[in-house]
Amino acid sequence: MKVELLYAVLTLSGGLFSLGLLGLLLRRNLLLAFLAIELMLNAANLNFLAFSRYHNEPTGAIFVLFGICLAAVEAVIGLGLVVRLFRAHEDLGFTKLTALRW
Amino acid sequence: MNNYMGILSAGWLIIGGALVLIAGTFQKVRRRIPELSIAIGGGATLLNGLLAWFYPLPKSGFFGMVWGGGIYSFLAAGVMLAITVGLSFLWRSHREGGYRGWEAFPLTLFIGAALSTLPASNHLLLSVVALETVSLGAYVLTGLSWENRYAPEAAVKYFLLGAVGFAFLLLGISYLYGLTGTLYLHHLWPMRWTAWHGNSLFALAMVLIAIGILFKLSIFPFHWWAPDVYGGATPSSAGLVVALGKLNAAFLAGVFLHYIHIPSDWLMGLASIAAISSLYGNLGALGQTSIQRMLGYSSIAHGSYILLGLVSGPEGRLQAWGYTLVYALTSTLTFGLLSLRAEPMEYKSLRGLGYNQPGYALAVAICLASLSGMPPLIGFFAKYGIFTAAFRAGYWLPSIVALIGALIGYFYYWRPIAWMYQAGEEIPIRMPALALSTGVLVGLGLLPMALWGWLDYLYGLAGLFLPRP
Repeated sequence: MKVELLYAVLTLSGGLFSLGLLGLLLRRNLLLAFLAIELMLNAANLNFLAFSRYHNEPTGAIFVLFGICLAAVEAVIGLGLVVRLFRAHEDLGFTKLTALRW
Repeated sequence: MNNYMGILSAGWLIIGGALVLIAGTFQKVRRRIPELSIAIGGGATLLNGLLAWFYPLPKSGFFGMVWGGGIYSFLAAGVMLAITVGLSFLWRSHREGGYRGWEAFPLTLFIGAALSTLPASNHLLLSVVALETVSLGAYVLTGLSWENRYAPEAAVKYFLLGAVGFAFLLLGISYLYGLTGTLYLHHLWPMRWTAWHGNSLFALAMVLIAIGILFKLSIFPFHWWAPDVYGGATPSSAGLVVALGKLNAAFLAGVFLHYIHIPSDWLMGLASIAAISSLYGNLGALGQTSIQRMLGYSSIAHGSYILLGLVSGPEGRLQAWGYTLVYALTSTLTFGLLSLRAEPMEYKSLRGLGYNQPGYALAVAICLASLSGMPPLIGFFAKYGIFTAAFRAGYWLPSIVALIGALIGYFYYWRPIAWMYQAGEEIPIRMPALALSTGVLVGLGLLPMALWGWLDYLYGLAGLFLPRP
């Protein structure tokens, strides 16, 4: 893998991560926050794949399999928590989370 | 030649947890699940203690991915002790109807397997999987109770911020992998890190990893979730949640700081952040009226002492790990004892408790005093070790500021104790009770000091004191 391609992929993943962070900060909805977090995790996964090709070494690619697995588990637990919260509040906005002082 | 010592404890816990899960499908056995889980957790504590005793020299196995024996088994034994204590309080809450399900018991065993592997891991893949298993379990434990008004909200907040911290950490590790081409931690050790020090990708990787770890440790700029989460968590599992979060972050940070050479001015910056965090946490805890929320704020302060130890060289890392174990055990005990009472945990509701229920009040008072760092108790020795190491490492100003924070801590930890011993009915404490309390105080102080010496011995034997090349 050429260095130019590596730089391109790194830029892409950096953009994905920033997009996720921005989404997290700007959107006031729990489901969209989860989407944003998944974007951030996948930016890291993309990095691992690119570096794995660049170093010609398989560990990074294997890491990505585990990373995707962890992201899936995280989505399961996060959605479970959101469903519970929705039953309690009937709303998914951040602004309703005020029982504890934020 | 494979060495199975490194996965013995994790294997025991995972197989045990799976058996408990299977047993839970049978109606008749289901009632016995808490007892079974506590037995498995206690067995893991004993197993790790024996491993640390008989194999003081750690050995690596599974392609060098995981260490076993020695200091690593000692840490795992400490972790499992705290988890077993947490499980027994959960059992009590289960019996009283505070928590009706049974899934938390096998879940906690799986968390124990991951957390006892984390410090022993020699490969970043294993570290990340272990770290995230513990964190995900902690999110679930936070929102355990269906009746509690605050628990679901606390769990969602914990989940959101924990996941963001994890994303930062993962991105940082990916850049580290890009720089070095390896995920083995011992491959990182002999690298000439000074050559990396001007490198911007190295700086980026370190900043991202630091943000991830500071999130998990709830240090000052990334602390704001801690009072809400720890203050709102299900009372019977809140102690476990606090302990898991701190152990997780301290183990990972210790391993990173051992293998990677961080420029000294960065370490100074981290020490300063720890000092600010100590002031912030202690001042925030000062104004609280609920014990659980006060303990939530004080966890920020405890995180800052741990960080101060972690950045103070090899000796400081040893002290920080010891401090984290002590804090995990004490906070599990404190939250557990407090969860035995049904009333909301306002300071006022404690009035007269010292006369009505002397034994219970004494136990809570000892726990709070140990958290504050009162001399005959283990909390004092742990804190003393941290601050000594920090002074020796030359962090004068941060240590003094953090120490001022710790002095503020004495005030708010003693306020609930004062409430407990304010006049209810006058029932004077009898002499045996006084003798017993003195004995417990001194015993708690002296016995763990022997354990501390053992920890120090094992740490040295594992070569963790050695200077870097």
